Amino acid sequence: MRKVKKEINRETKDIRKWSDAQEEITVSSSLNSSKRAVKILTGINLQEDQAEKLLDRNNTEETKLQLV
Amino acid sequence: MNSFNRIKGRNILIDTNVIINYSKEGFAKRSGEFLEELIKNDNILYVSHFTGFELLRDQDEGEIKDKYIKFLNEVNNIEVSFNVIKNSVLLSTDYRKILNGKKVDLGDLLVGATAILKFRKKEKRGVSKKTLLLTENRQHFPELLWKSIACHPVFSDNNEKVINIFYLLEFNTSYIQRLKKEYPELR
Repeated sequence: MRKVKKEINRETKDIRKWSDAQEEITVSSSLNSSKRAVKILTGINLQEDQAEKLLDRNNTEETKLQLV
Repeated sequence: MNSFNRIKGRNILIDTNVIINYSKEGFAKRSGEFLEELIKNDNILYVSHFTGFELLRDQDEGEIKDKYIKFLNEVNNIEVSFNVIKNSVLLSTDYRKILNGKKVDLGDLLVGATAILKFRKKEKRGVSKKTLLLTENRQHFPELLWKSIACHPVFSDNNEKVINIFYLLEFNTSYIQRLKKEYPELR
């Protein structure tokens, strides 16, 4: 009986682990690294066709999920 | 709707399409340097590790790949953690209810699930504000779940037409709460 109860408790805990929405995380971040990152970004100088290729690649059917 | 210069002191997760557009030659200037403007207003920029994957996958070795690596090493990164995966599961359930079987991009799901999280800095106390998601793909984030907080149009060189519109979105938790209340059997 105790074993069954323990098993049920464990399963409930496992389900909760998977179903609870997480709302907050702790991060280490800075405004300065945002600044430096944007500076690098503007220095990449992608050409229009290279950008199109990158955008298309991330928009293909292979990365889409059918939610039915 | 607000313009980007009204947004102050927020955490902003940048979608991959914004990064690709912004790295185009001359785009930052043409767009009014909106990322620089957001930073000036004390907004902190973040990317998901999944965005790193989207930027680097199938890239040939070379200068562009090296620069994206440099960018990813510098920008504030948010990992695709167990919490993000859990939020993706919940988000996909809500998308299914709303989108009626339409296909959803895995990247949009993971980036959306990351933007649901509030980012709290270690040293900061008090209530954190909701994270904002910066994207060009408004249609990939269902309006019932994602409120538009601000938008920024980018015009063509001759100023004749709008070539891109970028949006700052906020997750609409009140919709989920209402749905849970009205249809408790749905979860």
